[in-house]
Amino acid sequence: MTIAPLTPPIQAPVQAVDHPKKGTWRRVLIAALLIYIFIPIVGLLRFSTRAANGISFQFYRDAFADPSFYSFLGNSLFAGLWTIAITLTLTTFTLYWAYLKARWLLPLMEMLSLLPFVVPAVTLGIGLIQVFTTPPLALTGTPQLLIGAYAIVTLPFAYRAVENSLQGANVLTLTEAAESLGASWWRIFIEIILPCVWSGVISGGLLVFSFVFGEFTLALFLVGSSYQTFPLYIQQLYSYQPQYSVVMSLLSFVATWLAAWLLVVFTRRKN
Amino acid sequence: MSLAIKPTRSFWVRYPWVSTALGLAPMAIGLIAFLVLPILLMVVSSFQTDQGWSLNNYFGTVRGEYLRAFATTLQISLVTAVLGGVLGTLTAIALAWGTSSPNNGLLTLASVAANWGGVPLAFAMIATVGNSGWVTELLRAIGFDLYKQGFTIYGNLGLILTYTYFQWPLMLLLMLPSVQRFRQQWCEAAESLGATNGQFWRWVAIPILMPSMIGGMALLFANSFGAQATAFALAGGALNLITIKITFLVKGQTDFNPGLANALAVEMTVVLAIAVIIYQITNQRARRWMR
Repeated sequence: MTIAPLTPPIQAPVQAVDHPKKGTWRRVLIAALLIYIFIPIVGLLRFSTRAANGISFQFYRDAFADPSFYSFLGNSLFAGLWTIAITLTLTTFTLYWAYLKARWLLPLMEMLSLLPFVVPAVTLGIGLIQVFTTPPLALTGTPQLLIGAYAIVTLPFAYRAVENSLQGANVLTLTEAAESLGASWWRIFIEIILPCVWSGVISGGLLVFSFVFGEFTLALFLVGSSYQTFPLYIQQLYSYQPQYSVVMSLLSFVATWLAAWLLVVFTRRKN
Repeated sequence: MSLAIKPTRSFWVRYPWVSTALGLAPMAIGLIAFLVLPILLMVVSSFQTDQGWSLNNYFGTVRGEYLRAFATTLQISLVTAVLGGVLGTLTAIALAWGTSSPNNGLLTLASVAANWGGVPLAFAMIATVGNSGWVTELLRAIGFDLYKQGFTIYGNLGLILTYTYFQWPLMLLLMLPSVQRFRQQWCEAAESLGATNGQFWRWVAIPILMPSMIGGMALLFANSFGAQATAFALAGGALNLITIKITFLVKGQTDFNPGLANALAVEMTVVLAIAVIIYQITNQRARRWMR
């Protein structure tokens, strides 16, 4: 989750390097990575389909028939959508404003992408519970606090995605042109700037959503049992219905994959 | 059409900084409330106990299980950073230098693996090399019992194995840009000057790639040092890591001691900040070759 803001979007190499020093070790290493990634997935598949007489998909049917699954999934969806709305609005607007009026802020905002490494979820979690337990701000256990925390933690993802598309558009000229034609700044933002960064907003949204869908530590610290998200559900289920929990783990892998795949499809279509 | 430009003397024109500040205010308020304030409070309360200001929380962190937790976390993070770092760099080279263009599917898979940590990964590893995991049973069937050899997925070695799942592809993604920008001409130049394979690596490839590699490993180190979810799901309180200790000091009933948790978190932040500064410095050096 933390990696996305640091790597450029997947792209073709600057120049295809046909290195003369080829060897079989290359293929072996790539194969090893693939095996390392897939072996645990096979573990999940086997564990969730094992039955007394061969293979059965009973656990899948049961796990998805459990009504509590949908309530936890609903909680995660709710948190995810609100986080996307807040983070992306805040980032798009602030970035645009910084481009127009405070360029000195841009390098500072760039530094945000290293934030998750300096302030991991555990640190932010214990800080937040202490701020938000004292009466005027008693928000511990509420989804509002979790969403607020997620909105801050996911800023780097949104920043990277929006900034990529804002760079291409010449916002200063566009804004000046619109201003000289008498457009209000609100109209400029909605009708001119937003369409320019739309692709960045969508890829940022995908990244944010896939983060929220898998986030465990902040949820454990800030809301715990009072607002159970999908990862908390997976963890709790393990102690009494491990097979269900493994089915859900598999679902989380598929969801992460889907988000990554959509991101690639989306970036490719844009180019 | 008349373009009558009135000499505006409005408030917004006279004080342009006001509108700048107003536009930046929502972000600033969000950052202060959900980032600056929590960290500030954490630092301040780490120096407080029931009796007032003191360093007692910090004295508590440098003895017994907490000191050991620090040492274990450090050790595991170093091992996974170096292991993931070397494997990831070599895989990046294998991907970028052997083929005409790296396979997009493989890169997508790598980014999924790098991002998919936490609870589901822990259970996947238990289902694989746990006591009755499929690989464990497979090995048992051919006469090699992992668990009789002292291995357990719930121990430090198991955690290293688990972290490698995301550290390896993470390093691959971090290294790929610098490896891709490694010019073929450098390789040809070395060759035409008569460099052997060993000399090429020793004097050209390694010096150019080293800064990005150290930077990547610093980030991997931080990534593992601050990780909590995977270890927590894997073994609950059985693993003696700082993040696990903090979790039980804040959420637990018997060990409840937020002051100590704050002190541990401040110490952890210092370590992570050092790692990230190393990343920043090496990243700047690496950029010299990326023109």
